[in-house]
Amino acid sequence: MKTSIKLLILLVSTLTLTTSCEDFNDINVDPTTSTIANPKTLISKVQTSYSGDRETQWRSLAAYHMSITQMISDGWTVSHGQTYKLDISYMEYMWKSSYREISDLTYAIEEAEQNPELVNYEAVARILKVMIFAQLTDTYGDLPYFEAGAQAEDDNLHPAYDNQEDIYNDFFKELKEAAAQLDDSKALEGDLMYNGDVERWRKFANSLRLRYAMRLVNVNLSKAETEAVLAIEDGVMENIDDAAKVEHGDFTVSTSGASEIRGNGFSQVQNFSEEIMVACETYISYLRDNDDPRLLMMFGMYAAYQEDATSRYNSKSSTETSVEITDEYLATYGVIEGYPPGYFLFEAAEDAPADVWSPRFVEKNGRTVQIDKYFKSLQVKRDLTRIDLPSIYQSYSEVELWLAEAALRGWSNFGGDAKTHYKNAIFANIDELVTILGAEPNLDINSDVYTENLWNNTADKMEAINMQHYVNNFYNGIEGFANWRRSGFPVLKPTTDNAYTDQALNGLIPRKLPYPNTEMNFNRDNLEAHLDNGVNFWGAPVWWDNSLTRGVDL
Amino acid sequence: MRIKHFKLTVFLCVCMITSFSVLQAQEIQITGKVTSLEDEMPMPGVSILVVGKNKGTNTDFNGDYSIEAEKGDVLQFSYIGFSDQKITIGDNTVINIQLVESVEALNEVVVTALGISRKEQALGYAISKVDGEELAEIKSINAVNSLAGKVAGVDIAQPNTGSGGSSKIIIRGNTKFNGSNQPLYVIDGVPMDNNSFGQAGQYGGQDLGDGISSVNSDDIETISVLKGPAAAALYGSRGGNGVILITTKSFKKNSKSKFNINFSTNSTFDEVISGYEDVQHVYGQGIGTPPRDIGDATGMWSWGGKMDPNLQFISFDGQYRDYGVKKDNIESFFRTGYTIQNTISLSGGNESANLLFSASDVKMEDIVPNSGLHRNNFTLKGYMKMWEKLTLDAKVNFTLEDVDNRPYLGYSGANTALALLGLPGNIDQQWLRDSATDANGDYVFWNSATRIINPYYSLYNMKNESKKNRVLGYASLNYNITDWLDFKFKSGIDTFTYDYYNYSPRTTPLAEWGELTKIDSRTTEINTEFLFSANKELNDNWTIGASLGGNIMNYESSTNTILGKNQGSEDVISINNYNEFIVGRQNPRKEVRSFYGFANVSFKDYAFLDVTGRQDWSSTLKKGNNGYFYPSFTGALVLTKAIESLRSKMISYAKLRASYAEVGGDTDPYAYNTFFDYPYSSNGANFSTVNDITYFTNINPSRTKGYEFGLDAKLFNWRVGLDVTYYNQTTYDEIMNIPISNSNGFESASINAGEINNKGWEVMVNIVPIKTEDLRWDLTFNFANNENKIVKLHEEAKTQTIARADWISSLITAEEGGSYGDIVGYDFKRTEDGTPIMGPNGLPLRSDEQVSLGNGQYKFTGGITNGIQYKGFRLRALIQIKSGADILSMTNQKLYQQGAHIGTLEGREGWALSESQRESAGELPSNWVATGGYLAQGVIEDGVGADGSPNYRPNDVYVDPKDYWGSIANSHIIKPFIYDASYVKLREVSLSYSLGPEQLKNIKFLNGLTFSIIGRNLWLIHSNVPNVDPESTYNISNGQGYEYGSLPQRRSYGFNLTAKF
Repeated sequence: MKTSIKLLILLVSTLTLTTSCEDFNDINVDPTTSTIANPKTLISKVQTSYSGDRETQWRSLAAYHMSITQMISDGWTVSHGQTYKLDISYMEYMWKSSYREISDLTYAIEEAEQNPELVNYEAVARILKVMIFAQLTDTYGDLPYFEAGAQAEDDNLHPAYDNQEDIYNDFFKELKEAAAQLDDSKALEGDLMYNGDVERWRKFANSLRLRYAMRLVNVNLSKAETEAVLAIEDGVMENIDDAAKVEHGDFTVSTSGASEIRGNGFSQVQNFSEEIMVACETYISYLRDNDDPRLLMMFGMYAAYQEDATSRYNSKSSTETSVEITDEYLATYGVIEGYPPGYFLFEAAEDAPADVWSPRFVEKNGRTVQIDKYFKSLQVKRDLTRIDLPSIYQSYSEVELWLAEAALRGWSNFGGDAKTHYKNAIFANIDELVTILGAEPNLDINSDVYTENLWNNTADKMEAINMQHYVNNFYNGIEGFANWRRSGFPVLKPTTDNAYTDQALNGLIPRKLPYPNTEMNFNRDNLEAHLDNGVNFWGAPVWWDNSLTRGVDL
Repeated sequence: MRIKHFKLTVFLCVCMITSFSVLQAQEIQITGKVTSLEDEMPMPGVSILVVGKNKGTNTDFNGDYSIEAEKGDVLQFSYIGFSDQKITIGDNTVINIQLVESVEALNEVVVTALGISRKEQALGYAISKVDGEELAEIKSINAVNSLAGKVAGVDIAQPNTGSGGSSKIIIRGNTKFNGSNQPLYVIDGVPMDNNSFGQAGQYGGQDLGDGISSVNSDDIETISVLKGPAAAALYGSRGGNGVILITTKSFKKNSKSKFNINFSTNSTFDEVISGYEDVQHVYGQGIGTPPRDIGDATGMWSWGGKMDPNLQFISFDGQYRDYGVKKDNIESFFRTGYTIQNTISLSGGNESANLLFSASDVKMEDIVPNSGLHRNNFTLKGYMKMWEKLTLDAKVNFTLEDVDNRPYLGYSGANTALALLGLPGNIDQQWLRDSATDANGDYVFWNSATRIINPYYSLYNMKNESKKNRVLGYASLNYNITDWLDFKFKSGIDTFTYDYYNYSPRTTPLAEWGELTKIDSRTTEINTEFLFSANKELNDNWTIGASLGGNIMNYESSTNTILGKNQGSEDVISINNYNEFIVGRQNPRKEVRSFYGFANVSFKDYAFLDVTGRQDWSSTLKKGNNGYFYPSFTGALVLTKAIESLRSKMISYAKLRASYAEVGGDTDPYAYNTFFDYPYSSNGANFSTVNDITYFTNINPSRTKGYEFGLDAKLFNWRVGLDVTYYNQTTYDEIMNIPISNSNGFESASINAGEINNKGWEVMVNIVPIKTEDLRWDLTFNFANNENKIVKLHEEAKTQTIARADWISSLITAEEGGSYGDIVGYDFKRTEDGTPIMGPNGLPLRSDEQVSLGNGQYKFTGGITNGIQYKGFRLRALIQIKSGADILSMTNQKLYQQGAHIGTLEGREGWALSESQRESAGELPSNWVATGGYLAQGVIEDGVGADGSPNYRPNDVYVDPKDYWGSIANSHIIKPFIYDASYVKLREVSLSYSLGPEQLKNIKFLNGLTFSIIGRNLWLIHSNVPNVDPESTYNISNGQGYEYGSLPQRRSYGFNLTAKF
């Protein structure tokens, strides 16, 4: 009997436990990470990762945008765009990282909206969101916009696609509203671009509006003019202090660890020990042939002392063991060049010199420097490959070039004629190279004379202006690819005879990147109507581009 | 938190009480010997059951047993083919039994779920048992690897991952995409965390070992394998993949003394069998000619001239050497490894209180220089009767493991095999040793693929070490409430720390500024459970039993990872000596609360029915939807007892069994939160970003449903045993991550999806062809096949990626309608009838799409064991067979590309002749039609037919074999490197001699002595994969079917000595 009572007590006490069985309090809350969206830290991260994400800067920006426009060449990974080699896995990096950033900004906006004190965060997030969407739609064309970003929580796995025209129209609205929202009396912390200077954010929003207005000149000239004039009237950048740039962190580059976003992404690519990147002759020749002072500010010849030359790593400009030999090389071989477009570094161009496969040698500091095949082209100056090199999202120089074009088109007179804005742009660019990027000034050339000559000697003033965009956009390659398509400058010779070339291009140049496989596989119904006749084709122009041949040397 | 501390305290207290109060105990320990009446030989493996209690044991090799029981208890002795005997315990504590041969009985006792001993004939599902002595004789460093080929339906892969590596066991096929498909390990009733600490992925890495690999095989009494969901229903979700129950040894009273000492020593030597039979030894380094400058010399191409000792070439270290074949140029890198394992166990006490202590030491030096393992195990296990109705048993086990220089695997630049494989035949690997570093200690580049690190540098200059300290133990109280009702309370703990570092000095390629990765990890799992069990014999016909229990499982793991970059002083390997840090932290926590009950009814000892039910609540699911119930029903019917007339000379015994079971499943911790995290900050700003996985709002627990039927039969007067099982199980609604359109801001969604079916047959056959007084021959076959089908995935994702090798455009996938583990990649472009199409230049074209080219999962597994015993001698040999899987050998791909593979010889002579003809004709390559070279089998497009479809002509364009294989490599055509991974291996051989009771009669202190000569992995009898062992996968992930840069095959042989005092 006694036993049964004991048993009963045990049973009852066990059963009472069951009532609370499904309540685990916070066991399933990860103590190592926050569940609260903080607009400040989300914005700081996006500001940095937009240019700092190594993988995106590598596989999309460097490998395609900069490479298709013949700014750079390399041994393998970055020349995909030079030879029009199709690699969907590379091409999707920008899509992935941009939508993630949009997701971050959407969370920031949703959070900031609820608190009037956070209005500046909301406005800044909206401006950045437009900038990221613009690079995305310029790169891929029509895409999910109104339903995109952080909406999967509503179980919406199939965001609808929007036309680029509607997306651009919304850009103007967003930028206008965001600029109006900015409030000098409210805080803006963690701002790695303007350090909380709200007035400069307003100018940046207007300058972006100007950029996106100018994008429309081939499809809707009157809209382009209206939006551009309104943006300029609202106040665009006025000096290089207004330039939109981000400060990066410094660290040691390696393959270990998570994908790194802190440093300048383009510098990370160059520092990456397996990567060898040189300048492309198309880009170099414009500077060299016009005695541009920026050539030797931006590029130099580098190689390794003979005993170190067993490893290519030792000859890279970003490596401390390499030696700069620009003067010595010029003295011995007479000319400095970029790598001819359309080839990987391990290939030889048709008209390559007889000694293409053998090393060249110069003497420096009494020692022999060995210049192997890969290093007979200019490389980016060591100073400009540093990891904490700031990234420029929109330069004052760019804005001056838009003003020059607006003046040339006769839209209105904004404080000077086209030539004045043109010269201002070049001075500003040289200034930005020194002041923002930290390049060593080149005092050998008188920029005033040189700019005067350049303007006067170029018959097509539109060409003069847009070639300066091309030069300028080495540090904003995505904009470089877009403006080449918009303006048709520089005129590029297509690669046709490389073994890796995508034959579907049929002798033309890619004008966008194809949609990633995740869209083809998981959002196909929405995407279908926005493909090029059902084909995911990178030769098809986006809406504002509307040409297969602009900028192509047929 | 507080609950956990409390539990820990209870556990420790209980442990201490057991350890210190041994002397007060007073239960009866019954011992004795079981012999056969017929020949008076001792009978090993006789099961002894305390009737009415869930307690049992088996006799040892000498027929001895010991068991704790109370006066008045009834002991039941059973053995296949012998009549049961029941003895009521009186005053005598030594009970010797002689069993009579009979066709009546089949009563082997097995340990089932929750540690309950059951008679095998009462079970309605398949269970397999392997005796510890068998595992201990031919030891594997990783005890569970010794199960390979012994249990039908248990597929064991031993990846080629070096010292302290993990093992992979799959029972009845794969059911999960995201989680582990490995079984749950339960040691003495305590679940063991078997998560892997790290695996190599598509870009390389190391195998950092798993939990089970550190168990000492000498401590194992038996291993039971519960295969299906029915057997595992009581272990909850984690048992859904099957359960491996390990029972460790306890004190056993022997006939001569109250104090036992067992000692075993095992020494084996490992050596490279070689692997590179299919490497060519004709052409040396270079392209076209021997290397003439450093650039050529650092290209690891074997497309040079014919090797000739009279020629000179410059080698990578700048020296001029002769261009002759260097014998064993790769094999000489490896040394003879050895493994020494010693275990001593001391046990003593009496029936009421006893203790066992065992200590073991394992030292292993790998065939790869400077790599090895050192492990110690200590166990203290005790039992005591505290007072009449209360008994307590407890165990604590410490494991200390230290592994030096785990090898880098697969794609890793520091993978020694990757550097050595394809070393041209004129280069001796020893030259690498002398030129790994320069005078400053800086790395010297030797290979134009700068990533591929000199193996001497990766082994002697780079370093890695892991230390694992583990405590596994339990304390269990058993209260005998009445004669038919028991109450048990048990608390078990598994806790370990894992410390690892990995060092790359300055100048190491890809870590030029020096790096140190440090991982500190601590994991604890505590299981606290209670169980009421009732057992009542109602009358002669009916016996019923019922149990009710509950369990709380508490898991927490905490891992800090620090990557230090930019080394300070070059002589200090310590994390404080670095200038930059990337810090990561993981802290998964989980709790599962469960109630379960089971009931069994048996009728006349021939019809049995079991019903179980379990309700779990998991912290990983959302409140309101985090509880799930699952039942099981099993039945068994001994036909030969039910229908006496069935029994004949031919059919001695037959039993049918059937079961149906469900198992519910949860997911990983924190799968439900949208969180914001970024590990870095810069320029004074902190970063955060949203996680890249989203979840669907209504996630339900997943579920596995399965049924099985089986037949157990003994034929021809018990000479032949047959055990056949058919199973069919389906997993529904796995909680998995599917890739989604990134445009909603996330990369994947956590979702309920999928329906995966596994079905198959398992057959075990035992035959005793010869049985005389002195000679016995046992022959055992086991085989199993498994058929896997992905019935349904998800409307969003018809294909799920399981593993990737992006650098060669390959995936391992599961596709709706297909089966788990397809190897996907590019094929040749083919005509409609399947003939490869070459381009006009004679080089192959690649298929437009990636297609499935094979499957990496074995469909058929089996083993044949032969045992011959003659007096004291015993010879045992195990042949293991696996077939039906494919493997993508990227090693062979690389060997072809580099010209090292024997298959690259085809066309070289012809091409050289054609080239010399061209040169003497003074023609440029573009104007020359090659007269010889490699002629790929296939066709070339040749105009268009009337209907617009292309015409083809047989390929007639000779090409340089270098261009052909280079083109295959560059266009990522992997078809030629997918091989049938079937194999037949002579896995184990042992020849042992045991001193029998006769010889030992006069040696007072010695109770047993066995000496064995042993060998493992002696002979790869059949394989279709050139150069590498078909078992050479580089990880234990779900995505099997890739091999890259594998270490060569090895075999081990040595001796084992076991003595009992």
